[in-house]
Amino acid sequence: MPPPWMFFGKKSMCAATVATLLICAAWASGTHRSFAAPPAGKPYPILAPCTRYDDRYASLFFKTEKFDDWPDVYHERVGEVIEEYLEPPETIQCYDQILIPLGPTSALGQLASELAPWQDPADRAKLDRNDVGIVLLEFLRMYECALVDHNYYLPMDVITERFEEEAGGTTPLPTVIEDFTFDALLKEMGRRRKIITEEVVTSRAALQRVLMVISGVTRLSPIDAELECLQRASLDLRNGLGLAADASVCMPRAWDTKDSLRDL
Amino acid sequence: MKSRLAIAGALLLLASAQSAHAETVYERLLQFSQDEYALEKSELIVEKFVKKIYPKKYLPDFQDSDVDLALQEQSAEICRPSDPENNPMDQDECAKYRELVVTLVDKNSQFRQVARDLQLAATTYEMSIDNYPGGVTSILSKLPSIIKIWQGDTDLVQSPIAEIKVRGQAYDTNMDPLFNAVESELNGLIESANGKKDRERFIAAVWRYRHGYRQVRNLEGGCTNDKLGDGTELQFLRARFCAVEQKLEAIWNQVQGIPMDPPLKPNEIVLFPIKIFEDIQVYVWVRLDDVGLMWTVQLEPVIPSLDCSGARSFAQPNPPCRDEAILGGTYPAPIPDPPEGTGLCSHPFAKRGYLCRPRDTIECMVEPGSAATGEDIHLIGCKAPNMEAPYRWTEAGPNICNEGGWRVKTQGLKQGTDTPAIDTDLAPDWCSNCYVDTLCGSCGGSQEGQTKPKEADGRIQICLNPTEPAMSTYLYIHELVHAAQNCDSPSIDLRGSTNLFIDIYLQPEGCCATEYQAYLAQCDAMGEDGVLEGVGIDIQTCAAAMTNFSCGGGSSCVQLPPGTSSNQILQDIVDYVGAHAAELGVATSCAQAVNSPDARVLKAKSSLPQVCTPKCETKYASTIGNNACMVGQCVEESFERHRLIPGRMPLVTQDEAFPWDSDSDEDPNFGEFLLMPPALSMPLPPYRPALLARQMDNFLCQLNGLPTKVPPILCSFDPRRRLRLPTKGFLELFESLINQPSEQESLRHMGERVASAVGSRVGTQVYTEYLSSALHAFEELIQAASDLLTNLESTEFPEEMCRRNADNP
Repeated sequence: MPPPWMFFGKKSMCAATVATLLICAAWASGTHRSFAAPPAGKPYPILAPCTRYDDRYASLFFKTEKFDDWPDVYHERVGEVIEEYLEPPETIQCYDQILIPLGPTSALGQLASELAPWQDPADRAKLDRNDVGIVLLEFLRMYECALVDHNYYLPMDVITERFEEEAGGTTPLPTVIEDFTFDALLKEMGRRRKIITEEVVTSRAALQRVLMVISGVTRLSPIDAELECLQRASLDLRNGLGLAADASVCMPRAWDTKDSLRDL
Repeated sequence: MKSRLAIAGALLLLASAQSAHAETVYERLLQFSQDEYALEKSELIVEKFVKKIYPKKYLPDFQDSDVDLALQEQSAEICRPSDPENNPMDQDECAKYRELVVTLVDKNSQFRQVARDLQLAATTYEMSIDNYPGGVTSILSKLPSIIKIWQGDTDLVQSPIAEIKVRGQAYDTNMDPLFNAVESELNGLIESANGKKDRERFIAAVWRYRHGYRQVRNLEGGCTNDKLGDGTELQFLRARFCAVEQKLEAIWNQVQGIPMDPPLKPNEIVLFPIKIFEDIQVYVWVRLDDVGLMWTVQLEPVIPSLDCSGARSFAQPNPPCRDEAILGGTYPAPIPDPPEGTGLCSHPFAKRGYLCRPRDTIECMVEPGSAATGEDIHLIGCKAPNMEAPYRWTEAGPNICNEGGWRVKTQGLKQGTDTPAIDTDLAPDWCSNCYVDTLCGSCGGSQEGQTKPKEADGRIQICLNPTEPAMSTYLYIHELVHAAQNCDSPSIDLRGSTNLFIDIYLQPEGCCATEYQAYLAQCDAMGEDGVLEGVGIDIQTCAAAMTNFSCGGGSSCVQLPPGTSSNQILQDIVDYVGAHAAELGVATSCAQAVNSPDARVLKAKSSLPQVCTPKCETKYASTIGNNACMVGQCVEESFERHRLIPGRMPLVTQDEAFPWDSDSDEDPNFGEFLLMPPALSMPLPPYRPALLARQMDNFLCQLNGLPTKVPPILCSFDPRRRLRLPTKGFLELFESLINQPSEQESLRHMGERVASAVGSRVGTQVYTEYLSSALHAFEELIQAASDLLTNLESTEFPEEMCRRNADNP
């Protein structure tokens, strides 16, 4: 027969197990869900992963382009979105909830579709022209993540790229490259680190400035669009009242009406 | 060889394509950030400046290109072995010399970036409310357009808002060569070296002519040679660019020959299409009175100049100019404020903004909702004193169309032409209850103008005898309003020697009511022509003063502020019109005013006939106000003068034909068509920069964890903070003391970043606060009008006649 303290201990263990299960159940029920876990029905988490190795970013430039082209591609795409935003809108849908819809071929929509929060078509459909700030900031975040990621794995990345380049797309990779010395590796790493540093320092500052510049447009363009609609409505009203004015000249037909019995 | 040529050709093509590449807004801002941190390269202008001020005793062979080498940490390149003074130089010493270069570049870069950030803060607000159509948003040009669609012609006269007269006009020739010349000239101001660009002169030129080259010439005289800078850091705020001025003048000369149809009114502004230079993000705006430049997006300000070499400055005062570098620490006299009506206030839409003009209204109180206090900067000034306008008094009904004239053409006289003499052959057509016979001559006593009561055949004699003949047109407009007031009244013969209009006029308040309307039309015409601007009063004060003058003097009708003399105002107006008659384009004699009447006189005469009489022609500008006036006046004439319920003709209008008329059944459609929204007052929101500044001060103190202090600089770095609360170890204490300034620096940086964004929001808030409530009221009005039209369309007419006696079916 086991001693009493052992029973007591077992009870305690049972209680602990139940408590753990309850906590796990509560955790699983979503009340304490990790921000790194996707919400129910969503393919991406609230905090998208800060890495370039995630499948969600397969179509982004840092998966498809060489490192030396990253800055150009990134700044070109941001510039494209900003230029598009600064173009006066051509189509204003006065009867719709969204006065200035996002065109199907818009640079903003295209960029958003490559980023995790808008990969779900239902979420992308809610994207507004004035969401330019959040899309670009998310794009910047991914760019910074890719730069930091690359910096972290810089020796391995440089070596891998060099060997893949030497192989010219064939397999297996060569085991030795004669002119690729340790000194050459350090030199290449130093060159890339300078680019990474400059990009990390200047990209965010530049984006903040451009978002500040367009903030006035963001705030006033809805009023501008409403004014456009008011202008159109005013023209409709003018034409309607013009017809009413034409009709009003028929009033003399009702003047001084007399019925047959009381005609003086 | 061929392949080499091909490569060279491709490179050339690439180079030309690169030079033609337009820098986008983002690319410029990215360049700002790269210049700010200056990790590898410095700005060209900073590079030259650092070279000039770098102590020669350290590195006698220091070159422009050494600045970038210093940033790239290439000490060996800077400390040349060939340098006789420093050979051999140890590495530590060289590192110190290199560090000095980096520090000089950093300080200048940071300063320049602060100036640019301040510009960006202003741009966030100003970019969206630009003056000329063609920008990202065009709120300013849409508002006048909407007003034009809505405004009836008599609204313009009786509720004047002093709308600007703007006309759009196309070019009649190909202007591209002239515009290209400007672009080429501006491009020539950008200097390039070592793959870098120095845009200082280019930026200065665009800002210099933002209000037009003619304005610069008028204020500062002709540009005989390229008067560049005066050698101080503010030199490019005053510099002239004669070649640019010549190119702008060529455009101005070209547009002067474009015929204007219809002829221009006094003070009418003619806008031509802008020409955008995409590559340099600048546009040329063209008005008939001036031509100027502006940025599509204002990114770069004129930064204090660093270069006083002969190419940039015509003088080299020492200080601040030394070795062709402009040293800091000297404070040249600030640029004086532009005269009133120039600068920003010379642009067509901005001149109507509340920075540039007083508010045109007779009642100008601080709105209760605005809660403006004494320390607020009042953007809304009131030129007009707080006056109460006399009531409008009509004989019967609201007379919806008002007086002043809204029809451009009606039936006209059946016979004869109105001449400056008495015309006995005039006869009215069947549309009119009256006609005007104008007489240029004595009106009896000292009266300059008089409208006599309507005679039995409808004749109303207007007599004009102004002391200043050039006032004839304005006086004529005034008397025609009296004719309109009198036109539909019974003639004097019905009641002996008087009629209802005269009865009203002879009462003190009646005089004020009738005269105020007439003077309002007269003063509106003078305001439109720019007379009142010349005299320095607004339309309402003019009308009030002249009404007092006509109805007993003093403040008999409207309480004018103490010290205001009606006689003086009238005399000033007469003197101004007499002196500027040719410029105003008004008739210079009474006979001319009658024989070649002004368009406003014609409109007033054309508006005398009845509106709805059958077979009468009416022509008016199609605006919402005029259309509504047409409908309303038709309804009014129907109710006032005719019987709409079947029955016998009564003796007077709307008299009962039968005793049971008053028992007629209720109109089932009464009140069904429309429920009007209440008229909302739209106070302009107050702008409180003093309060905002105080909040920023508080913010600075909060960042430092301190209560508010005055002045707020007391909340900044305080070395005693750490000394009073020492750490355990000395090392940490010293580290903490050393780090305190950098803590402060990071807070300052944060505040600076936040301030521009907050400023942008506050600026926009003032704008949206007003527009959102105004637009809401406007939307409700449009909705109500839309409902009315829809309901009219769907009105079902009863098949049975309305019961005339509700109690007796």
